Amino acid sequence: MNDNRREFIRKTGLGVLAGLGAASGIFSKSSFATGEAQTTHGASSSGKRWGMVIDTRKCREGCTKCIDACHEVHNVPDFDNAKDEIKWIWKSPYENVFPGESKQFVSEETREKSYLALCNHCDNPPCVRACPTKATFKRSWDGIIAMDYHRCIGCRFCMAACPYGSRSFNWRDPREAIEKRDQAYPTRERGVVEKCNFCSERLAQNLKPACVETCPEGALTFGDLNDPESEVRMLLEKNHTLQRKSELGTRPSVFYII
Amino acid sequence: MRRVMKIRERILIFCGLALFLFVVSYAFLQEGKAKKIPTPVAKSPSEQCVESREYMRANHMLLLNDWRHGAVREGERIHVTPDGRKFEKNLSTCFQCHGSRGFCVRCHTYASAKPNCFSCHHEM
Amino acid sequence: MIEKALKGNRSYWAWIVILLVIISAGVYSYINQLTTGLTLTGMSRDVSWGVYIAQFTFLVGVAASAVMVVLPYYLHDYKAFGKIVIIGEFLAVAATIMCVLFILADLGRPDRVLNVMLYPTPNSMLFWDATVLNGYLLLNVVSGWTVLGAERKGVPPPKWVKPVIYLSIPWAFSIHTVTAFLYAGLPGRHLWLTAVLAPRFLASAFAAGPAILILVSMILKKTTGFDAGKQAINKLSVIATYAAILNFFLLGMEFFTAFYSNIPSHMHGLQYLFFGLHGEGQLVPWMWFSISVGFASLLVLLIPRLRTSSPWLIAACIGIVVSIWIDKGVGLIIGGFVPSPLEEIVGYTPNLNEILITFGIWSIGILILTVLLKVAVAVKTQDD
Repeated sequence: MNDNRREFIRKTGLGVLAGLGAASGIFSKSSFATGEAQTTHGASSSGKRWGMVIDTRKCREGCTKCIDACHEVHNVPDFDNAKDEIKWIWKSPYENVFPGESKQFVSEETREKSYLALCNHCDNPPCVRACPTKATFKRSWDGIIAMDYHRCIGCRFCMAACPYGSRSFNWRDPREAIEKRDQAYPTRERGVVEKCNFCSERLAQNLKPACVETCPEGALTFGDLNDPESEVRMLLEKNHTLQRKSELGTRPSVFYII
Repeated sequence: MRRVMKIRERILIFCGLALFLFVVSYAFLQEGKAKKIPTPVAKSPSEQCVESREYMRANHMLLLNDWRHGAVREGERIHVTPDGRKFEKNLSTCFQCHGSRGFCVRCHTYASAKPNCFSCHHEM
Repeated sequence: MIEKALKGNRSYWAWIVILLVIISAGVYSYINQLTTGLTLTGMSRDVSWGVYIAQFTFLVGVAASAVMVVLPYYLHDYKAFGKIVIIGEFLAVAATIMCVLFILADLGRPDRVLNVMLYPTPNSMLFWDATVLNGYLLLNVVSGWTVLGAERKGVPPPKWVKPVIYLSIPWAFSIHTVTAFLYAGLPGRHLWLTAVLAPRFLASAFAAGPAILILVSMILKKTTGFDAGKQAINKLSVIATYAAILNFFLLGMEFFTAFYSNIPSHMHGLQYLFFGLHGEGQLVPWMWFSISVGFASLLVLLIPRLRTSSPWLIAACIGIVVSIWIDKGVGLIIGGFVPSPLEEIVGYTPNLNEILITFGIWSIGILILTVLLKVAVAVKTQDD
C-alpha cells in the first residue's frame, strides 16, 4: 500500500474515534451516565430490613401450602423434571438445609421433619458481589435482594456464588409449564435467573408475603428486623434461632426456631 | 504493471458484488406490513394519558425505560404527571385506557419495532 | 498479509474444509440452543456450569501460557525462542477467542452481553474477566501482527510495540489469576475456596500450554517444514516439566489440607471426584485416568533421554494436555458443584447439542490458528 493511502486510513480512523468520543460526551443519555451504587457490604443504615422467622415446630409435615401459594402467585413453572426445575421455596431434610450442624444423635423429630428453604436475602450477599451487571442487587431501602430480569445476561455466576442453592435458572421458556397464569405478576423469559423476592410486589401494597399469609399454622412471621418492636424481633429475643451456614458471614435475614 | 483480469476472477468479483448488494438491500426490499400509517386510539379517549400525545408518540419507550428503572431499581413506583395526577409505574396502567397489547402491535408492526415486553409481561 | 492464508496446497484446503464442516454442525446446534434455550445442554439447577465453562477455564490457561515464550524472548533476550514466539502469540489469540466464544455460548441471554460493559461492576470478577480477556486479545493480536508485518518487510518493528509486549507479560498472569478468582472467592463452594487455586491454575496452564505449543510446532514442522528449533522445543519441554511438577505438588497440598483436617465440607469435593460420595462416583474413573496419565507423562518428561526424543515427547505432551484438561475442566468445574449447597449429589452429562457446539468452537479456534500460522510461516520463510 502506498503511503498516501496509509495516511488517509490513519486520519480517517482517528477522525472516527474522535467523533465517537465527542458523541458519547454530547449524547450522555448512554447508560455510562447512570450512576449505580449498590451496597453489598454493611447493613442499610436507614430504612427497613425485611426478615422472616420460621417456627419449624409449627410447620406441619406434608403441608406445602406456602410453596403452592408462592409458585402460583409468581407464575413459577412446574416442569416435572429435575433438570429444568425452578423453585423459589421448598422443603428439605434437616441435614440438607443445615449441613453444618451436627449429624450426631439428632432427635427423632428433627430427623423426620422437613425444613423450609428459600432465598435468605442476606445482608452481605455473595450473589450480589458476583453479578457482573448488577442485575441482582440489594435494595437500599428495604434490604431485599432483588432481580432485574431485564438486565440479567444469564451467566449464572450468582447461582455459583449462592451458598444456599436458592436460585433457579430458566433453561427453557417457562410459559410452557405454567398451569394457570396469574395476571397480576409477570412471568420470566428463558435465559434469566430467578428466585424468591420476599413478595416485594405484595409488600408494595402493604400485604404480607404469600407464604406468610397462607400458612395455616402461622409458622411464618415476617417483619422489619431493624424495628426493635416488630414481631420478628420479639420472636428473636424470646427464642434461640438457627441460621443456615451462618459461619460464612452472609448475614441471612431468615431465622429458624428449631 | 497492470495485468489483464482472468475470466474466473471477473465472475468471482461479479458474484461477490451481486451477493453484497443483495445482502445490503435485503431489509429495504421487504414489503411493508401495513400500507397505511395506523392511528392508535385510547379505549376512553376522554381520559388524558400520563403525558401529552406528542410526547408519548416520540418518547413512550424512554418513559417506559424510566418507569422500569424507577420501579425495579429505585423503589419509586408512583409516576406524578406535570399536572399532579398519580399513576403506578406499570404496564397495566397503560392498559387501563389502551386496552391490551393490540394497541401496541398496530404501530409496532408498521414500524417493524419488536420490543419483547410481552414475553414476560401480560398482554392486557 | 492475510492473503498468504489464501494460498495453500490440497491438504491445507482439505483441512480448512473439515474444520468448516465441524463449525457448521456447531453453528446449527447453537441456533437450536438459541431458540429453545440452554435446556438443550446437560446442565441443571444444581450443576449450573458445564462443558462450556470447563473449556473456557482450560483455554484461558492455554492463552496465558504464551507468556512462557514471550517473557524469555523479549524480557531476557533468549534468542532461541525467536521462531516460536509468534506461534505462542497466535496460539494465545486463538485460545482467547475460543474463551470468549465459550462464554457467549454459555450465556442465557447473549444478546445482553454488552450489559457487562454498559454497567461496569468492579466488585464482580466476571466483569474483570471480560475486561482482561478482551484486553489480552487486543495486546496479542496487535503485537503479533505488527512484529510479523515488520519482519515481512525486513524492517525492525516500530518502537511502540515493545511496551505493548511488555504489558502482555503481567497481563497474561492476570487473566488466569482473575479466572481463578471467579471460583476462589465464592463462599459456598468448598472445592474452589482455596488460596492455592490461582497458583494451581497458573501451574497447570504453564504445563498444558507449552505442551500444546510443542505439539503445534511439531505439526507445523511436519506440514510446512517450518522448524522452531530443537533448542526452543527442549527449553519449552523443561518449562512444561517444572510446571507439571508444581501442579501435582499443589494438588497434593489440596489433598493434605482436606484429608488431614478431616473437615467434611473440605473433603466432600475431592471425595466425590476421586473416591465417590454417598455411593455416587460418576467422575471417579475420569480423575484416576487423569492422575495416571499425568504422572506417566511427567515421568517421561523427567528423563532427559526421553524428553529429547520426539516420539516420547509427543506422547508426554499429549498426556499432559489430556490430564490437565480433565483435571481442570471435568474435575474442577463439575466437581465444584458437587455436592450441591444442600449436600445433594446431582450428576452431569453433556448432551449431543452441547458437544457439537463445543467441537464447533474448538474448530473455530483451530481454524483461526491455522490461518494465522499459515501467514506466520509464509512470512518467516518468505516464499512470496
